[in-house]
Amino acid sequence: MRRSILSSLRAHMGRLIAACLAIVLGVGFGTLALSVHASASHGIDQTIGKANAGVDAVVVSDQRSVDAKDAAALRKLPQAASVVVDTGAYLQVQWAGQVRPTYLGVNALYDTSKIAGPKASQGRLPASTLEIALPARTAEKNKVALGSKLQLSSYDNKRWTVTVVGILDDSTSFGSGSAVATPQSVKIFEPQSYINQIKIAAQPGIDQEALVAAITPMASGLQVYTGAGWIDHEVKGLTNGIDVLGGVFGMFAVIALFVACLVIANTFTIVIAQRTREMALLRCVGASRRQVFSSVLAEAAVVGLVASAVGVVVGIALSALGLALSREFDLELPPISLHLDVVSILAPLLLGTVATVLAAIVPARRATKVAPLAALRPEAAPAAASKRGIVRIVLGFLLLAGGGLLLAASAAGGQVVIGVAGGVLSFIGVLAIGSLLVPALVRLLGALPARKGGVPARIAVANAVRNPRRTAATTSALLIGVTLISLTCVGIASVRKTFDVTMDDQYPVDLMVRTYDAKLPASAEQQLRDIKGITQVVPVRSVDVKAGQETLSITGVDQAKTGPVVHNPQLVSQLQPGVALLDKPTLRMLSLQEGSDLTLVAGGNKITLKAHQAVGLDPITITDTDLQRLAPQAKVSGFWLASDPKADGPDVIDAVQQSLPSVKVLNVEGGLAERSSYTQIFDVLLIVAVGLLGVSVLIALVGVGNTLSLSVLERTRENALLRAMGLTRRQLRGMLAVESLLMALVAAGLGIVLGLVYGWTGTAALMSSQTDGKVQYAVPVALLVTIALVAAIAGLLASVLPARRAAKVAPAGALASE
Amino acid sequence: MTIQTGELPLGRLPQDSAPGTAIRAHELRKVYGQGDTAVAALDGVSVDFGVGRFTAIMGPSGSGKSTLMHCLAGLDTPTSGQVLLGETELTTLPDAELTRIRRDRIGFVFQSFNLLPMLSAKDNILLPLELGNRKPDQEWLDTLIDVLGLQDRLTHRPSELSGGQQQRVAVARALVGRPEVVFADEPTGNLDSRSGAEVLGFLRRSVREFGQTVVMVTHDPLAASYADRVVLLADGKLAGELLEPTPETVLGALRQLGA
Repeated sequence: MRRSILSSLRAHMGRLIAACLAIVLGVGFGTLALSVHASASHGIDQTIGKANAGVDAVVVSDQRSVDAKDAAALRKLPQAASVVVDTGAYLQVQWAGQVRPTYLGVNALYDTSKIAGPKASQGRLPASTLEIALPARTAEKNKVALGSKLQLSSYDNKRWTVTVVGILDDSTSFGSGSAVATPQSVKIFEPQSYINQIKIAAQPGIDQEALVAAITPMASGLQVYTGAGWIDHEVKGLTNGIDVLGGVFGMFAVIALFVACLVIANTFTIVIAQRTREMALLRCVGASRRQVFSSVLAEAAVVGLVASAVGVVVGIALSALGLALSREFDLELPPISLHLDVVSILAPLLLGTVATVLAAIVPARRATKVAPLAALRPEAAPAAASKRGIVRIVLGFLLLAGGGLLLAASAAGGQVVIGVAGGVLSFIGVLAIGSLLVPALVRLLGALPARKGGVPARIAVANAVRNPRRTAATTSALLIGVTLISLTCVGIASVRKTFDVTMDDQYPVDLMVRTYDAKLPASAEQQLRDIKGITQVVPVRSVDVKAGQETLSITGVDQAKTGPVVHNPQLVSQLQPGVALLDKPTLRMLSLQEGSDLTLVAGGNKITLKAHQAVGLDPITITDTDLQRLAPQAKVSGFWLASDPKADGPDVIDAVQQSLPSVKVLNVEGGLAERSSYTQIFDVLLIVAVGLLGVSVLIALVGVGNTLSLSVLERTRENALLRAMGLTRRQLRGMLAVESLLMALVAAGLGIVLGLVYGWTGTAALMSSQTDGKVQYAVPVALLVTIALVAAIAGLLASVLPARRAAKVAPAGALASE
Repeated sequence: MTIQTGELPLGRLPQDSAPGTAIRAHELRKVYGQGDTAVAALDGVSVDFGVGRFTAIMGPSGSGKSTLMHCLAGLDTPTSGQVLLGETELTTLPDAELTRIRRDRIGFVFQSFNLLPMLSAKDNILLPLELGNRKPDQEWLDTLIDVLGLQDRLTHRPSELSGGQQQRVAVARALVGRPEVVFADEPTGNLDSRSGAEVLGFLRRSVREFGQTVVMVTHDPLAASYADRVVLLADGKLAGELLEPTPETVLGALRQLGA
């Protein structure tokens, strides 16, 4: 039997190539995920271990802060060989080219024989006061060279000019690190300098536990770690993120592998169906059903193993490439080198092989069930609707209905778990009724080309629905990817829109710029208007007034101009002459109710307004009209700004913070920072999710191409007949393109519809409890159209190779061969 | 009835093509393989097929009769020599042009796998016309359907038709565009004798009544006896000709060839 397997493998390798490609992609992706995860974890262990080399115990703040007395006591500890007191100051630094200072942590330098301190990569470490060394990334970002001077100032306005004498090697630290100065300098910068932690190295012969045991009684209210425990703690703090990422990666890898399984199963189904006669012949000459069955499985095992091995190699190569690229770009991460462990190689290999064998079992069973002589009869037509098919479709409808009910329940009740269950069940339902649904949709979609496109288009539509099971299986693979991508797009867009609306309630103004005592230049409004990304600038005035016994600052704004800057329409319509909008604390402080009278007094003027509560504006906001009556002399004290939603939020905030150089203290707040931080998170999420799901779409498209090329093989005679009757090569290629396009578009359309349903119910389930039911449902039209377009183009591409092969066949040869 | 062996109009140049010639082959050679393994399926065949005549090509297996038909019909390209369809030289045409000619000027009836399974009988009949975006001549179509007795079968799929019905649909399809030549490749090979006789009868009727030119490849002397003329082929060469054949004369001629 072995010879027959090998020779049949050789003979059919061409047909199995696409299945192999699907396995390679799925396994490669899994390997990539696992090995990147392993490398990153390993890299972090190494880095943190190196940074804490020689440390046997660490004392950090817990219920109280570590103070100088603790440090003094620990220094006297007989078991301690070295004690490093890691102190720091938090200062303002004036970088060249910046209008206002930013913050910089400065830590005290240390270096002992047991615990090594920071090292300078350029220049030297600070040796005297007023010398400083900067981390390489900080220096680079602010374009600071060795020898340049920096202006430092403390919160109580003491100022120093320091010289940069060294650049610190921060290639093995995470994030932007602190600068270092001598302990004396740190003491000068901040006399009560803050102690970050105390690191202790033990005397020889004393282990970490003994050291910690000795320290613990002296450190009540503080947290004491062994050196190893501290490394664990730090690693966990950092790798939690990576574990989450590993999990997400793994999930997408499983999805990709599942899609690959569908493609493999479909390929085997077709290949084996095409070989039914060959197998029947084997049976006729005496092979048992079991022998034929196991020969097919053995074939699948060989294919699965070889393709998985290739996939593992591809995955490792890709992760090496990815890690190399990540070293090229500054991600504020230390360089990670490729680290391979047994799991990340063996698990994908095993999974790929097993998945392939599993995928082959059903078609192999089906093929061996055929009675030998029946199969040898020419043109054994496949049974149209088997009993099992009907059971499957009934079951599918039941699943669809049940899943739909669960989805509705989860959307109404905010139960995410029920929603996921409903989603999975209903999706399985859709897949189960695919052999009914997909051909119907293909016919529907194909109606237009069939009418307008002439015979080739009509034949293409007919071909696409000819084998409903095969068409359904092919589109299913694509459907999974498209549904998940659409779901992600719709879900993220909806969550984002929901966030936007809640944000508009909490922070109705993008940016509020204000000064307290400084005079704003006359050109201030224009200067702000000139900032890129700022679309609206509305000046506001403020003045101190008396309300009963309290003196309060009130803000006046021209109510005609509030529309474009205040994103909450309710507030815009509320702010009318005669109305004061108060935030909740002010309302409570003045013991006012919603709608009660508020009397404001300034100079000799006095007005009475109706008080309303408002969120996100100044403590008391009134109209310009009322402010004119109360305090005509009130000066412009700030501006409300609106920004372009497409502009980069942090850049706009930076620009505003660095604007109006003549004003010393400029207060900038508002919803933009918050908004841009979650916008960024959603953007990254979207890119990552779509990128990862793209792999499964790619695999599915391989499947489409595969089905087409196998169908082309089956239809060699038909195509030859058509060519003989006068179908040009171009028409033949077009015919296959239409067939492929129909399958791709049906999968895309169905996937987008499902994605909308799942995305919306998911958003409702996730968000309704947090937003008092104010969930917004978005339709990301541009994204969804892009998905459909990509699917269409990819469908066309998938038809290129099969079409070329079909067009190459000479009509005479194909007709002659029996 | 005469048997002329090896006395055919060899050596005549294509330009001399008589007005009554629908298609002619001149010095056709078709070689498969290369070097030592080269086999000449056609070895210098020159033959004319008259307009409005029913010609059968006969010969033992491997005599090259199918290859000759494929080359004449523009389905295959000869290694050397010429094929003239009317005034058009086929052998030098590119594929797209050949395809167009097959579509517009040639009709086919094959032994089996003749119809597209997903199209109805009527769609199958109209296929060549629709491929060329041509409108069917309704009167002619009605006549064909009537003559072939397909009125009740037009909406059926091929799988719902008997073999004879399928072949009649194929004949209708070949004739519907009024092609210059209809090629039939073993049209009765897969049919029982009654259905076969029907199909052959139709082919002959199309020649007699409608002036259609038909070229048929067959190995069945009975089928060949429906033709006006039988061209005999052996080892890739022309081996004789029979006019007004009967099954007996055809059988005799084949025996003489040693088949």
